[in-house]
Amino acid sequence: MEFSWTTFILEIINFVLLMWILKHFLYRPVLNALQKRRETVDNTLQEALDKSAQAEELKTQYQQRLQAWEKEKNQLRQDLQQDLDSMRSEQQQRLREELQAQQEKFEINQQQTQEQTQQHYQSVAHRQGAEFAAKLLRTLSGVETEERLFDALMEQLDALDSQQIKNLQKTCDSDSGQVDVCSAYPLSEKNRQALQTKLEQLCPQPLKIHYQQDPELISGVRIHLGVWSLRMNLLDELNRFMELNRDRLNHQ
Amino acid sequence: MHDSELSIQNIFQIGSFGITNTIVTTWAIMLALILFVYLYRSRFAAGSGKLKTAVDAVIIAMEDAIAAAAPEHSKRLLPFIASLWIFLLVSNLVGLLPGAHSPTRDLSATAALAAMVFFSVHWFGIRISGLKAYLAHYLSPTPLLLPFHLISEVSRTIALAVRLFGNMMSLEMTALLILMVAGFLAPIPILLLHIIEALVQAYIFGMLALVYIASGIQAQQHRKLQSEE
Repeated sequence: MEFSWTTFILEIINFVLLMWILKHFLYRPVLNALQKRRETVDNTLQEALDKSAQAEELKTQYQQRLQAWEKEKNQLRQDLQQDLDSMRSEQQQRLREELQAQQEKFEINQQQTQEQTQQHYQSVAHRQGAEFAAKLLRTLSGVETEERLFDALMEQLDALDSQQIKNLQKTCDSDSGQVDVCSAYPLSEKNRQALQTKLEQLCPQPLKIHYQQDPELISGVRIHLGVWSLRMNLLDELNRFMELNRDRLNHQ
Repeated sequence: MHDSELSIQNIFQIGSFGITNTIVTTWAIMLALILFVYLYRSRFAAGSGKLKTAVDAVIIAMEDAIAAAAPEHSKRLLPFIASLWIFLLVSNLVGLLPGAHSPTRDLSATAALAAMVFFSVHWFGIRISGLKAYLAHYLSPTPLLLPFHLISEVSRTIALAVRLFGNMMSLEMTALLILMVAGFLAPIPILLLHIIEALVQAYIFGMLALVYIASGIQAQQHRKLQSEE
C-alpha cells in the first residue's frame, strides 16, 4: 500500500478534466435536449389541455344548442300536432256532414225507390185487379147486364141538366147528326128504338145513328156524338177506375 | 504470487514524477469515455436510437437520484456526482480485463477522489450558503461540537478513500490468490462478484459524496428557514 503524491495530484487533474469534458459534451447537451423535450411535452400537454377546454366549451355550447333545438323541435311538433288535430277535426266534421248528407240522400233515394216500387206494385196490382175484374166480368156479364147498363144509360140521359143538353145540341149541330153507338152485344130493336127516340128528344135534328158491336166493352154501350161521348159499359168503367187509382197514386 | 501483480508500478518517468500504471489506466479510461461521448454526439445528436435512449435514461436516473437528496440543486451537482459514478464504475470494471488493474485499487487514486469529495462539500456549501453561514454550521448546535465536526470531516474522507481502495484491492487479490491456488476457471465466481462489487462500490462512493454535499447544503438551508420563521 504505497501512496504517490504524483498519482494523487494527477488523478485529481484527470478527474476534473474528465468532469469538465463530460459536463460540456454529455450532460449539458443531454439535459438541454431533455429540457427541450420536457418543454415540448409541456407545451403539447398545455395545448392539449387548452384544446380539451375548448372542446369542453364547444361541447357545452353544442349541448345548449341541442337543447334549444330540442325545445324548438318539441314546440314545432306540438304546433304541428295541434294543426293536424284541427285539420283532422275539420275533415272529420266535413266528412261527417257529407256522410250525413249522403245518408239523407240515400234515405230519400231509398224512400223514393220504395215509393216508386210501391207505386209500381200498386199499379201492377190495380192493373192485375182490373184485368182480373175484366176477366171476371167477361165471365159473369151477359145480356141481362147489358140490359141493365142500357137502362142506366137511359137514366143518365134523362138526368142531363139543361147546360149539358145545350152542349149536346151544339155538338150535334157541328157534326151534322152523326152518332156512333157501340155495344158489347147486339142491341135489340126495342132498345135501338128507345135510344133513337131519346137522342132525338135531346137533339132536335135528323140523326144518323150507326150501330156497331165491340166485345171488348164486356157489357154496356158507348155513344160518340162528335166530341161528346157517353160511356156506360164495363170496359170504360174499369179504365176509369184504373185512371182514378193512377191519379191517386201520382198525387201521393 | 508475484509482487508486481499487486504493487503499483511506474510505467515511465517525467522528470522526477513517476507515471504509474494507475495514471496510465485512468488516461485510457478517460480516452475511452471521451471517445464514447464523441461517437455518441456524432451519431445520435439529432436522431434517436437504443444507445441514445439508454444514455438519456441513465442520465435521467442519475439526475432523479440526485434530486431525491438535493431537489433544488440537482443540475448543479449532476456533473460532479454523475462523473464520480461513471468514472468509478468504469474504473472498477477495468480490473476484469486481462492485464489491466483498476485505478481504484490504488490508495492514491481513491484518496484523490475522496479529497475531491471533501473539497466539493465545502465548495458547494460555500457557493450555495455563503462562507459565513457555511462555517457557522460547524458551531451548530453548540460550539462544543466543533472538534467532532472536524474529526468527522477528516474521518469520513479517509473512510471514503480506504473503503473503496480496500474493497477493490481485496477483490483483485482474492481473484489472484484463487487463480494461483485452484486453477484457471476457479476465479469466475469471484469475477462475477467483482462485477457486483464494482457496481455497489461505485454507487456507494457517489451516494456518500452526494449525501455529504447535500447535508452541507441542507444544514444551511434548514438554519436559514428557521431564522426566517
